[in-house]
Order: sequence, then structure tokens, then C-alpha cells
Amino acid sequence: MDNKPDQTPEPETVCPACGAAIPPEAPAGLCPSCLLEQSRTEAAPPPGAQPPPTVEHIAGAFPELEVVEMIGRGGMGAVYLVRQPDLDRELALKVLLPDLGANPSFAERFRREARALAKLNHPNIVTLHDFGERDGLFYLTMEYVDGVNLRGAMAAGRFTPEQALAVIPSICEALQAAHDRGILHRDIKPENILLDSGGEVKVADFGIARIAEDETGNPTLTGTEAVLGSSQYMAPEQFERSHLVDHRADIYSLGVVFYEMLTGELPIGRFLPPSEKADVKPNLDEVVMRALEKELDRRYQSAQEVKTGAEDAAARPAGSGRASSFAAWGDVTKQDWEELRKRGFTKPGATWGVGLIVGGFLSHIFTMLHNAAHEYEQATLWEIVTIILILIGTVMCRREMIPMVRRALGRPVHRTTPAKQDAWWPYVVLAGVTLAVGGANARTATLLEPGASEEMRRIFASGFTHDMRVWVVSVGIGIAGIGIAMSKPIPRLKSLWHRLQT
Amino acid sequence: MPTPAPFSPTRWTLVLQAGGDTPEARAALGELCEIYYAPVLEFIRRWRHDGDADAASDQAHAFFESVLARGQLGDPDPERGRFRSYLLGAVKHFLYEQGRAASAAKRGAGAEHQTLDEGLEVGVPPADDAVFDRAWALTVIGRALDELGSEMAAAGKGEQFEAFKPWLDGNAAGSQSDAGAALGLSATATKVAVHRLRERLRKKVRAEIAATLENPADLDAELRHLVSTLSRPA
Repeated sequence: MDNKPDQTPEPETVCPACGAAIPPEAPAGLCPSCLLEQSRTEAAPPPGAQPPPTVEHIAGAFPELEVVEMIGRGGMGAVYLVRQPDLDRELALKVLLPDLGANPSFAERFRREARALAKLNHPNIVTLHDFGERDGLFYLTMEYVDGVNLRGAMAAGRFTPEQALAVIPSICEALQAAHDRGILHRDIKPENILLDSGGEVKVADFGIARIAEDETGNPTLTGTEAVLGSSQYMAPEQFERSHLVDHRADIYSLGVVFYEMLTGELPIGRFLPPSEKADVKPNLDEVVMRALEKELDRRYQSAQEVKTGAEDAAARPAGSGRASSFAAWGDVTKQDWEELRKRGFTKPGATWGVGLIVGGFLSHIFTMLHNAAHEYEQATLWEIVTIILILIGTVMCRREMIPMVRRALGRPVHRTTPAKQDAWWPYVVLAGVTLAVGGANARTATLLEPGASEEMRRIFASGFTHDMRVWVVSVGIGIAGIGIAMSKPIPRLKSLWHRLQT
Repeated sequence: MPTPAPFSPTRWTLVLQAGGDTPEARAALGELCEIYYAPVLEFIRRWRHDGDADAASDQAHAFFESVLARGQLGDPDPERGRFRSYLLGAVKHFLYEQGRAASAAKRGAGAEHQTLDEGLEVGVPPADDAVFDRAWALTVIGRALDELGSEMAAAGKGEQFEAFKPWLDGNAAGSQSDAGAALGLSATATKVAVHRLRERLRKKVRAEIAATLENPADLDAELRHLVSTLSRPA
């Protein structure tokens, strides 16, 4: 023991975690109570699970392998570390619970799935070497990953966003590679995500959950245990019988894992975005929340998209919403366009919308030219075109515009829940402003009466309509005011003021 | 799961089964006594109340000599399934006997004496048991840490061990990633390294304690006991 008699006695400190006193002679100054406490709990077997075969049993069934030890167990079976003496390599041997094999169709299903899995060859996927049946035990031998699973890594302390972002892209690549081959994981959870000592990420147990189901897609009796164990990571559609389940279920589960890594909690019920629970950049919120979208069509559509989203969010500086927000509007660089393109701004809606708005401004030039030439009828016509183009353009790209504005302001972007963004107030404001501007330009007041007579136009053109103009402008301002009121301006301004101060 | 033990977890069992009477048992007992010298010394120091450190360590030496020379484990004790309980009982007994011998020498022979059990209860306030147990727990941790440290050093990862040591109890503030980056480890690799260190330390602590138990099933109870002594105020 570290007895340091020459050390001057220090006052006892108190452990921040357990509140026990840390005596000055405690080895390495670590809290002895916490150290012993963490040694106390052996990983408990899942409740109600069958006891897995013993190491001796496995050694008897696999005489060609040296069985070193059991390294894990779950609802579906147990995993053993084994050595192949001939090749001098270590493998993980997964033995499924004997009960699973009792189902008559099991053997066939097992073979079919295992064959598909054997074709998966990706640096981030645990490679399947062999599978079969021995002494009534269905087994798979896999690459042995000398490391820790994500559950263990999380137990050692919450992930910083940087640490989480070092892991997520690799999981995405693994999922994308499998999805490309039509293989779903269906049981993504921290226990199945392994980190080796070099920091490489390996996803384990692709499709194993599927093996535990019967032909109709219902979990078998034993499989139920496995499913129940990880239900917190399952996509909503996996609960409702699962003919609808596709690769996007894996994306949801990945979202749960991501959320848990960042916040230390599971996204259950009405959960807050990660940035409001932990020290996480708001721009990661969008990625996590979109992966966790309950509606399939609003969720990320591919693992690759999650990866791109996460990497983009990571690349953007944390304060991209604050100091740089106006710069972002001010000069749209090639890089910005690149990013806009990546974020789906090439959608027809956005492209056409932006096109129409630009067209609207061009047509306004014609209005001004005609006004200058006292050709009021043409000017009115162009003004109508201007307003129509801008209105339609704005509506067309609203889904893209609002996230852009929010992002520029550094606010979390709920791309996945347009309901939150599609507030009506911007349109009301827009309509009001348009009307007011239009009214101020007296000639456009003819808009109020599309079938206006030649005489009306003459009156307007003569500038006689001062009262009318005031009236139209007032109504326009009034409507814009209603729109602004709808936007709940006080809290908005408060938060903007706060933002500018910080 | 078989716990890889730094030494045989049956060490105390070996002593018990042989009744302490075979060369292996003596060797095992000798090793155990060497390991747990510190709690005994601490206990004697506290018991003496005079702060005479040299006298305390002389007494501790004498105690261990007597334990090892006796070759017998003395009276059966319901708690002797744990070496900690045995050693504490033995040191109390030893101190009591010494005290009795001293006072007998002073007062002359023939005086009436309390029985052993009563003597123990009268002579040793229970708070001193906690002193012993606390020192014991620190010894266990110290040994587990030392062993982990030397294992890591042997694997050429001594630097890593030193860097990540503050996180072993799971409480340290500060950035693991920075510590890892200083060693050229990625954020993920750092996570893995810290986790594995903790896992190995956990196994070492368990093995260390298991070696002092007759029944491995008592391991968690023993850990619970040690945690509870540590969380009580000194």
C-alpha cells in the first residue's frame, strides 16, 4: 500500500459522488468507497433468462476450440471468447439459447439469415466466420473485438459530443453497408456497438433479432425476452406488427443511441432536444431529432444521411448561429451553397421557390421602369406579377426557408417537424407588408378591384386617391401587425436581446 | 465467469483446510499476513493511545510472529470464513493476552481474570474495528492499484495508467479526451482504455478480496461491509 509517512497530513476531502470522506492516505487520492462500490456489482444476468451453457459444456461441444471464458450474455444466448489454436486467433462464439432451436422452422431460418450475414464484409461490422449446429446448440463464430461495448463505455462516463461524433459516423457506415445489401440490424442498442482498443467501431449481431422471430415476424417465446430487453431502442413501427419495418427502424434506434450518448438519458415520451439537456451544440439537435422522428417519411431516409448530417453539424462552429449569423446571410459562399445542396435545398420546392422570388424582383424592375415612363397600366400589371411571384415563391420554399432562417439565428432547427416551423405568422406579415407596399404605390391599388374600370385607373394615376392610399396602407400595416402579434414578439425579442448580449 | 486472479483465490481456504499446519498453508498464511500488515499496525496504534509508533510496530511484529509460529488457527470462529475477521480477532486476543501478562507481572500471579470473550468486549471499543476495516479496505485498493500499475508498466502502458488513474473511481472532473489526446489516443480509444482500466481494477479488487474468503459467495457481502466502513465518518 502507498504509505507515505513523510507526507504532511492533508485534511480529508469528501468524495463528490458518494459523500464519503476520502482519507489522505487513500491510494492515488481516489475515493476508496466508490472504488469498492463499483467493484461490487457483477453484471447481473437478465431476469428470467435461462442459464447459458457453461464453459465446460461449450468446451465439450467444440473440441477444436479452446474456450477461454464467457464474455457476455443476453436474452438470446451467450458469447464466449475462444481460441483457434491452429490459426492462433481469437474468436467470439455466440451460442443461441437451446429454447430458440425448439421451434421447428428455426433451423431453416437460422441458416438463411446466417448466410446473408456472412456476406456482410465491412470494417465497421463484426465479421461472421462460421455458423452451424453442434450438440443441439446453434452457434455463430465471429471476429473477436477486444474492447468494450458502448454500454460499458457509457457507464464509464457520459460521452462528450466530440466522443459521440467519433462513433456515430462509423455506425452509420456499417448500417448503410448492410442496408445496401437489404440486411436490417433490427436490434441496434449500445450492447451491440463495440469499440476496440484502437477506437474502431464495430457493430455486432446484425439480423440476429430476426432469427429469433417466427415466420410471421412475431417474436418467439424466447425471442420475446430479447425483444423486451431492447424495446427502448425500438422504432415505434417495430411495436406495431412489423410488416412496415424497414431500414429506417435501424435509423430510429441509432437516434436513440445518439441521444443517450449525448444526454445520458433515453428519449422517452416528450423529450427535450439534446442541447437543452446537456452541453451539446444546438446544431446537433436537428440530426438527433430527425433520426428520432416517429413518422417514417420525416425521418432520415438513409444511414448515410445521418452521417452527413452529424458530420456537418460537427463541422459547423458552435456559435454559427450568433456572431456569424449575419455573415452567413451577407456573403453566401460556394461552400454555403454546397452545404445548402447537401441539406436538400436542391428539392424542386426550393429551387422553384427561389426562382420565383428572383423573378418577382426582376418583374418589379419593370414596374419601376413603367412607372417612370408614366405607363401606369403596364406598371400595375408588373406589380401584380411581382406580388404573385414572390408570394408563390415564398410558399414553395417555406420548408427550406424557415430552417435556414432558424439556423442563421442559431436556433434549433426542427426540420423533421414542419408543424413547428410552419407558423402562419410569416405569411400574414408578408401579406400585410405586400398590401401596405402595394397601397403606398397607388397604382397597384387597382389590385383591390381586378375589374377596375379605365376611369378608376385614371383616377389612381392622377394621384387623386390619397384617402384610398392611406386606407390600403393602414389595412396592410394592420394585417402585418396581426402577423407580428401571432409571432409572440415579446419572448422572441427577449431571447434575441439575450442572444446578442451573450 | 472465471475471474482471472493475480493469485489463487483459495489462499485463505488453503490455510483453513489444512488448519494452518502444512508448509503450503504456512506459506499462504505468511503471504496474507504480509499483505495485511498495515491494518494490524493501524489497529495497534489506535489501541495503544500513546502514539508510540515504534512500540506499535514492535507489537505488530510480535503479533505476526506469534500467529505464524503458532501454526494453529486457534478457536473456531463463526466469522473466520473471512481472513479479515480472523486477523482482527487474533490481534485483539493477542493484545489482550499481552495486557494480561503485563498486569499479571505487575500484580503477581493468581489474580482473578475475566474470560477471553468478556475481555475482548471490555478491552476494545467497537470503533476500533472500523479503524482496522478501513485500513484493510485501503490496503486492498492499494494492492489492486499497484498490481494494475505494474501490469500496465510491464505492457509498456505505464504512462497511460498514470494519465487515466484519476478517472478510475469514476468521479474525476476534467477532460478524459485531453488526457487521451496527450497520449495520441482518439476520443473513442480513450473511452475504451479508461473503461478497460476500470474493469481490470474491478477484477483485481474482487480477486484480492476473494483471496481472503473461504466462500466466494461472501464476496459481495464483504465488499458491502467494507464500503459501509468507509462511508462512516472516521
